Amino acid sequence: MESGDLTHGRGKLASWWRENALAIGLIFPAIAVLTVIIILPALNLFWISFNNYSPGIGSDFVGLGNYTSLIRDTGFQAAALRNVAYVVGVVLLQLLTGMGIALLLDNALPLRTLWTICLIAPFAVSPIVAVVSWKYLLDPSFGLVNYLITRLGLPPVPWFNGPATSMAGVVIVAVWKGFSFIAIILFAALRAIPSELKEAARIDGATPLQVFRYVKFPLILPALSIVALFEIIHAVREFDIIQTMTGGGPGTSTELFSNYLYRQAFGNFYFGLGASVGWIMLVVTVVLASPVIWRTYQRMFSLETAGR
Amino acid sequence: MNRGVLGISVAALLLFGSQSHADDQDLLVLSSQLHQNNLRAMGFAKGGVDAVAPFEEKNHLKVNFNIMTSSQLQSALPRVGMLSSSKEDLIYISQSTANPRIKAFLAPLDDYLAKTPIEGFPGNWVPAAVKAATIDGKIYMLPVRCGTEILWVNKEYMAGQGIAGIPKTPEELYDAAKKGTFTKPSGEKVYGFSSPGDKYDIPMTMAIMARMYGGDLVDESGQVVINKPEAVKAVELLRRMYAEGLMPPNWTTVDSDQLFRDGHLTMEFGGASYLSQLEALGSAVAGKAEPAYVPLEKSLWTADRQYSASGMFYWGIGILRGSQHKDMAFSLVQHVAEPWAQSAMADNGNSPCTLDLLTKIGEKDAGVRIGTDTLKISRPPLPGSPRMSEIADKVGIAIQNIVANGAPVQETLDALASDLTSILAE
Repeated sequence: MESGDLTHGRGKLASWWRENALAIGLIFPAIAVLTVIIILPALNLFWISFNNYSPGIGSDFVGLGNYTSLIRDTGFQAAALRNVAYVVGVVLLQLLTGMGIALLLDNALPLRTLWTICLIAPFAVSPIVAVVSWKYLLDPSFGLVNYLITRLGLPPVPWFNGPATSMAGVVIVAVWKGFSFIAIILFAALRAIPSELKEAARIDGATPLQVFRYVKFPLILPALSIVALFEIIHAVREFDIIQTMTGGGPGTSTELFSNYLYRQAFGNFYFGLGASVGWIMLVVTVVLASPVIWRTYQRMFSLETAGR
Repeated sequence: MNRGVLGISVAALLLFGSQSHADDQDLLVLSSQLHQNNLRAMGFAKGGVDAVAPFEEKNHLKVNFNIMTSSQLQSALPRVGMLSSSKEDLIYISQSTANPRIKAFLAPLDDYLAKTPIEGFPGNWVPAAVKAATIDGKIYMLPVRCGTEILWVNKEYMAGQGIAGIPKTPEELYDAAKKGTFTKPSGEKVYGFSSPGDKYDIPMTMAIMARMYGGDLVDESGQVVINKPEAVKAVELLRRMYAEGLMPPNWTTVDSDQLFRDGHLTMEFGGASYLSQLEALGSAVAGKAEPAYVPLEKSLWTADRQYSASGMFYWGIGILRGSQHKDMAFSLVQHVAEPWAQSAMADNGNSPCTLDLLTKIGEKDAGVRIGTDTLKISRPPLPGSPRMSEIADKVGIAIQNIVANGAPVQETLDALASDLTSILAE
């Protein structure tokens, strides 16, 4: 009996191996590279996070000391809260703008091809070049944005003169950088909706808002969830816009996790503390992204079950 | 066809092979654009003499540069310096990084200097820079760029706005900044005053401002005095000028040197050797920029001196611990120290660290003359502590919080002083 089970088990394993050998062979190089360049350094970083490591000074094992000092540090607390607010605010604005543009494009906007090309343009520009250009555009004294604002008869905005105008400048650039990707993905999802469904809803007397609410929105929700997930992850680890535009300032008023990490690790040379921030960022990303991942997978599995 | 492809491949391999062989001999220097301009007569120094070319020719190699910003150089030092074997050979180090920590990243120069001494070193070099380069009795870098910050004014704007003369006291500086803030008929705004406001530059700005009132950040005995009345007055002046719109609203992020060069400022604190940059092609202030001493509170004037000690800066060049070409790297250090190379670099806009050359340049360049006078009484903004970066970071954040974010002056400076005292005590 036992011997039969064993033979059966071996047979199943052999059959599983025959079925998946090619797939495993294909992904093996990628897994090996990921292990060397991501997993092993990440584990090393995890170890460093338990040490008070500062190059040129030395290293002491401090256990959870870095994590507890971070939790007590008011600067880190402020950066954490600011980062959560930034994720919520920026991702919401990106989604709303992206969705609005996708709907406009889907509703046969004149010159649709031209607008689609314009949407792709931000991808063609190097991120740092784009951010530096925005810094010049938003210059409070000599920038084009304030020039246009004053031409409209409005008072100029003192960009970057304090926490509010600095964060506003950063958010504008972050939304600009992200919304086009969302718009393109959602536009593709909207185009994939069978026109019969929309037509049927209209014949049944649905208003455009109801067509969107009950037909389009549920069908683009999986795509929306995926882009939201990407943007959440991106916003949690936002670095380049802030570092280039404000350096996290004035003071630390625009500092997020990544800038805090950079300042501690590469500015003050506290690599152990920086490593702890990195691991906290990972946890925060997982926590913020998990509802979206959970919802997407739930939906995927329910569709798969329904398909069967 | 196949033979053609094979031929091209073999030729490419041979070319690649010979290239990599040549690369093995080359030196790689981590520096800022300014240092490269000074050494290689590039950028604003275009048309000058390439101070490195004779070295390359003599040794049949190339000296390559990896260009970074000052703060990137600061963060590159521990990254590259910790490696036991690095492709990079030399690195420029500023006063904000030159601290006891560099022992772990750089090779000491003493053995090389014992074998082949550098003419006039250290006697002819600025003493404070040599002192900073010496840690536990060993020399880790050769000071190559030294100077002080001085006051630069736009003569045209000063005259146009009815400003009587160069400000000599902090009060006069404020008055001149007020009058010097105006809008041109074209609608273009001109601000009365600025000084670098980036977090890592603020200790220098703060040192200059505090020393105008006879104060400091940390005094010569190592006592933290950033919350004393003199420094408080300095921060209040900075905040007042910012709040009244006499300084650019984006002071914490803007490049004030660029603003001055573009004709958007009436006055700025800038390097004493800036004249060649300010007179260079494309500068909006060519023929209009005038150097001046940093003002000093009248009660501190003496018969000999009516100007402030300002702040001293220096850059040194050191050999990375992991360099595979240490001997050749030292040869380059030695070459750069030669009077001819020093002179060529000075012509390319460098402010040298050799006293005889500083004096000589001062005869022609009013900015350098003022800078050299100031250098005699000046010091770097902060003392050389292994945690200097953290100190600078805390000073930068606190001052930005006060000036731009409206934090209470005395309370913020008291908290800062307490932090700095505990850091320096460790």
